[in-house]
Amino acid sequence: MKVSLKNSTIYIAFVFVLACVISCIDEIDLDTVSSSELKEILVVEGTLTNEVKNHQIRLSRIDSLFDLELDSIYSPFIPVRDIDRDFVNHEENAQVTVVDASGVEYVFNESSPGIYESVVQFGAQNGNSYQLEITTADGSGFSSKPMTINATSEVKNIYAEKTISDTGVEGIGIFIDNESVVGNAQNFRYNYNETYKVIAPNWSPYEFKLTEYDPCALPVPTYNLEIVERQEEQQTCYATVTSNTIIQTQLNTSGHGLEKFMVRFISKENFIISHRYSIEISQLVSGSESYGFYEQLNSFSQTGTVFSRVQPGLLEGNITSNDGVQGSVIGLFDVASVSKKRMFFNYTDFYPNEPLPDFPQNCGLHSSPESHRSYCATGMDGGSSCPQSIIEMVNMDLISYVSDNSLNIGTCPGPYIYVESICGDCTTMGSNVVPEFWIE
Amino acid sequence: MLTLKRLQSLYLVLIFKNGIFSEDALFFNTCVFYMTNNYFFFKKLCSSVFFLVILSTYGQTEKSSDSTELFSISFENTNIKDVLTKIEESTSFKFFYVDSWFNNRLVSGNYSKVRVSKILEDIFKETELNFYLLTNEKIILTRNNIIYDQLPNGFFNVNNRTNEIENTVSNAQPITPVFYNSKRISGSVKLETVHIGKADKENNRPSYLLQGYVRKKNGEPIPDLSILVKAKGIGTVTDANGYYKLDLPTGQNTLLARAMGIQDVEREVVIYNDGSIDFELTESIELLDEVVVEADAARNVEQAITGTTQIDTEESKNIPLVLGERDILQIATTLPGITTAGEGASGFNVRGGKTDQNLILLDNAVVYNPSHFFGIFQALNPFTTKGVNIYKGNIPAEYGGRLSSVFDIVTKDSNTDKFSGEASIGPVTSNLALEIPLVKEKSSLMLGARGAYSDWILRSLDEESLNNSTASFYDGIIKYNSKLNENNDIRATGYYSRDAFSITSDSIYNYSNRGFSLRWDRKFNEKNTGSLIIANSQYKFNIDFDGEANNDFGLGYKIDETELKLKLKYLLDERHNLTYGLSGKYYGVNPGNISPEGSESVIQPLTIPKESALESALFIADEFKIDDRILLDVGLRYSFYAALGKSIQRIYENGVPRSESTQIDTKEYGNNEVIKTYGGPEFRASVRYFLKPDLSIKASFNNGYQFIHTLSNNTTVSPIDTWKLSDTNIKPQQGNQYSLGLYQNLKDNEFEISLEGYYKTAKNVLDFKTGAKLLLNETIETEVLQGDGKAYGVEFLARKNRGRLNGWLSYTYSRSLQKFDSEFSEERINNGEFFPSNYDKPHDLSLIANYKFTRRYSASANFVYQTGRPVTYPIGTFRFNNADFVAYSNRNEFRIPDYFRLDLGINIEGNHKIKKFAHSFWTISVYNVLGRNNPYSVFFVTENGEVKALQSSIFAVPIPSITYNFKF
Repeated sequence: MKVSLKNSTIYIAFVFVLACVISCIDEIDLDTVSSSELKEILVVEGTLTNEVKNHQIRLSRIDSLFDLELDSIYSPFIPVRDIDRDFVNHEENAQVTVVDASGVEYVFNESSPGIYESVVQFGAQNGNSYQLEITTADGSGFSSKPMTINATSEVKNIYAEKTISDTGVEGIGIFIDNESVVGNAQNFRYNYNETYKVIAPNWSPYEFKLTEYDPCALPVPTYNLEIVERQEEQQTCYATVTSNTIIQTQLNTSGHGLEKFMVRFISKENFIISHRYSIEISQLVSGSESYGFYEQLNSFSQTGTVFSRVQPGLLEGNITSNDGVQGSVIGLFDVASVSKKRMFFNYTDFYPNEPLPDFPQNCGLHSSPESHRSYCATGMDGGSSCPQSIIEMVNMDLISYVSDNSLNIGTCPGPYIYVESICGDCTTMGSNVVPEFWIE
Repeated sequence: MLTLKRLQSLYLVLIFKNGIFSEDALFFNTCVFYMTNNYFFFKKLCSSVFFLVILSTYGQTEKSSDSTELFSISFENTNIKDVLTKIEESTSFKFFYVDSWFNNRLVSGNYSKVRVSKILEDIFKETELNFYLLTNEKIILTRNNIIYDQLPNGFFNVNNRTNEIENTVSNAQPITPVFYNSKRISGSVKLETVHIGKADKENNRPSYLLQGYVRKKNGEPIPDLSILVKAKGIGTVTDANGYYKLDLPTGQNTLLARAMGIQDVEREVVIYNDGSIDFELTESIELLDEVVVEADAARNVEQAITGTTQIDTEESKNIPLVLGERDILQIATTLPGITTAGEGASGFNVRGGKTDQNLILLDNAVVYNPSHFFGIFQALNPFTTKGVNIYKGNIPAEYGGRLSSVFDIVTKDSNTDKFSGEASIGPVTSNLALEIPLVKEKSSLMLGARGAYSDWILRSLDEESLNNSTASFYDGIIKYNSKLNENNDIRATGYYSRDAFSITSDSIYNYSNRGFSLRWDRKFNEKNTGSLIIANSQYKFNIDFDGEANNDFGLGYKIDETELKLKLKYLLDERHNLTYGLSGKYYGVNPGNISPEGSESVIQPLTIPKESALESALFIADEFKIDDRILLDVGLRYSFYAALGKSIQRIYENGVPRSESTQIDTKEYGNNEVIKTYGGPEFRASVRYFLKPDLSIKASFNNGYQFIHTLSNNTTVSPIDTWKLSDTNIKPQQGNQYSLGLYQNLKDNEFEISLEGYYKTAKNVLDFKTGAKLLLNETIETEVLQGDGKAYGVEFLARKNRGRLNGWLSYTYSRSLQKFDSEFSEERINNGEFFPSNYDKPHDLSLIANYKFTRRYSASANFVYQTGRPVTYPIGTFRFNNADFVAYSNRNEFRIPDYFRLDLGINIEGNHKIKKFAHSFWTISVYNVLGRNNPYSVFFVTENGEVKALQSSIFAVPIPSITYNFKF
């Protein structure tokens, strides 16, 4: 009796001590800030450079929705046009001006929701200071510290080399060397625009053309499905992506310039370099204030391990509310000198006799019945186990024509073989217009 | 004849009549108690004034009594008692006395027509008895002392200054009554009180001669024995034949007899006349123990320093704890001012200090991580541990190097008489301690071992997810103590503890503590004693990562320190007790290395260069008794720290945030070359003032330096926190503490009440830039922020030490704040304003109660409530730089839910048959009876586009356990 009691005690105790470290997890309520309070936090992002152009300031409000995972996920079952690319709480109808040290005002007008563009083209000048002033639609005022260009530095070289990443992945690194031109440039932040050629792997010169489609017609849907020559260029496109990671580095005061700093690493397996790839790197020379801000921002987006959680906190920038209320604005108005350089390379320049990286989508050939049961049909449903019909998918722009189904493939063979549209139509991934800068 | 009982009731009446009873019942009963026990002396609360009030009232009525009546009586060789009976029979007088006052002395006399007072004067001539004629023919006998019927001149000299002068003229011999008012509070004091002579109205001298001789039990005289009069600065030494002579001030004196090899003896002597006392002393030290125990009981009110706590392992065995493990460190957290960040979090936050600010010593050797399994168990064997002294207020000058507290854990001295042992079997661990005498009454060895059988249980559980887990720990201790001779003692302790656990299947963490200390105590002479201590400690951890990918590695960290300390004590005189000495400590730190494991690993080996430093100190402290009320404890410590090479120190540009880009130079230092020194004086001052014998007020100030810091960006101590030495770029932390408190003991130390407030400031407290990488970082100074700390609080403790129901209630209100300000946003936290630290828990309440039903059965309960600790909460997302980021609240703006827990336990002691082989002790306890789901940590996840706060908890349900202990 005694023994069994003890054993069960041991058992119970252990399950709790050890299993609970891992598994006793419950949701709890914390008194969070109410969502109305949340709305008050303004987010300001703007960088004024020495490049003469229409500069942009972006204004938004903090969002209580955590939509971190929704962006840019491709699903073959959702039409590309329906993916809600981004939900941003744009801040509209604000008055935005930049004032320089001599009192010259540059007015910014709202060009699209939340994006304010300078009316005149101008560039920040060495030795001048610039201050951002914002009055939001509700009348609150915000202003930045006066910011200046710290130094200018020129990107001397941009080049790609085969390399191995920190995590042991083989690939191509894009490196730069730079050189200070004015002053002593120390803090560098990099943005890039990369443009790559996409060739649809299952492109065919023909496409489906669906007209007069009525899925609700009785007894069967009415439609007119034709196979026609493609109307527009859909085989070769150019996709352009803007960097969204924070790339920064610092240089010793004693240093002359950066040498072989890797701005971008692309795995050998990444399809974007399959054909021809181009990258334009913008180097911004900023002050330590903006360097610190981006460092903090960067660290908040990293997750730690069990033993070293990142200690987060309120992000501070150089913008304050004019009424002195703290924590009502997050953001940075940066003034920086910019230097840009572009380069091109082909996959075969580095891996001449190797197979190209896999296309991101598994482009299997499919077939299914051409038509379907009328949406308005009543009575018993036969319970078809066939994939969605061709006309339904053409209607939603989900598929691309390959050929006639002479091989009779598929569980429910239909008259045509098709692929997911991303495999046959490159415009789902980029633009079919050759960019101006493109050099073949 | 009247019995004593009647005497009492008479006094009851007297007291009522005079309206003094209105004080309170307690007061009254105590008086009666003392009346019966101490022959008519009013003691303790029945103060001298009280005594006088009664008697002076009756003194006036004496004049109208019949004491002038004359009568005749004769007796021969009669007992005094019989004489008194005879007087009672033949007159209307009644006597009040205690039978035992009369020995078998026989008296003779023949009187005719005399006053009763004449007869009494004669028969009491050769005795210590006095008499007092009261109204209504009542005569009160007193032993030694005399009842005065008028206040002595100058008794109220403050109020009656002018009268005093007049009276002195008329009264050539002012009466100097002896008021005997025991300083000893307890009635159970073993000190024998000796009354010498009887008070004599005609003979009022300021001092009397006391003489006698001192011998051992076997009759051999003891020469050169010093006899000191406590607190009076007088004393003498016995001559070659053991004789002594001493002029004692009239009244109460405490004699202290001491000599080498002889037990110290204290004796209360109330002297009324010339007399003699002979001492018979022994060589054992048993009596001394009694004195120590008694002294400790009143320690709360008596000692000068503030903020101290003792926990005794044996006394705390009834308190229910998780899984039935006896754990004095866990109990410490139920006392005011000591908290942990959460359940199962190791490391203590003492009075709002960081977890690295505690000096934890095990027999003088530092223990860096005194806990097993994330702080759930203490890494100390409960059977070998005697107890812990915690200094959280004023830290004695002999200790330094940590700002918040000292946990001075001492092990038991092993039994030198007979082989004995203690063992326990619990649900998680088993403990064993053996005490092995080596040379009888001289030296012995103690062995302690303790281990968890969790690994075995984990493997035998059906739960598959746990099969690959490991969680095991053990610790062992060995102690040797030897009494070389009367004046020399040697103690050596060795200690080792080790933990190994895996949280994820691909990594195994292990950490270990190692400690060694050797202590030599020497008594040079009566006044000088000294201790020489050498101690070495090591803490290290390793992580072995063996995952799927080709990045397997082993990572290690190690800190090693060796200290040499000389501590001397000098008993200057009865008023000054000096402690002085010096210490030096050498640190060696291997801040980390990583090496690839397996041939395929791509991990690049890296070793951060070793750091070393020397920390030394000179200290002197004096316990200075200014008078009976004021006790000063002042100390001065000079700390000196030198960071030593070999090292390369980086030099950064001033006025800009440190980063690799602002590094302007490096400087290389050779082996043991001094890189940078820090140091300064540290003051440790406290004062105690007795408002009443059992009520004191204390104030203290102390400051300190701390040269070693933990690098941790966790809220709790984690086993892989590393310790960093101060160097060119990381400055030592500095702290100040002011405290003030009131302390009272009631009912012979049965109740202890204290209320203490403190205010602390700190400088150069470490925090880290967000996202700092702390392990294997060569330029750690670029991640460090040093800011200010501030903490304040009020601590209340009520404790009942004896009786069927005992335990304590503690409540603390405290705040702990930090501030990191800078002109650069990356170095600023919360706008550079004070914000709550991670362990800021304003309300903290603990109740520990133990109720003894019988000698064998007792029940105990433990209740804890704490405010939830602060957290930083994600409040939304925003778009920046083409990506979404999470926005967080201000640092520590929110709090996790409050913590509370109730534990219950039943303790059953085995029967107390003398001939039994072992004495057993069962503990059945339930931890967290209410099943409260207290958070261990809080974290956030995104689910359906909304952020949710989740908490993980460790003991979310009641945990029963049963432990069997036995002693043999």
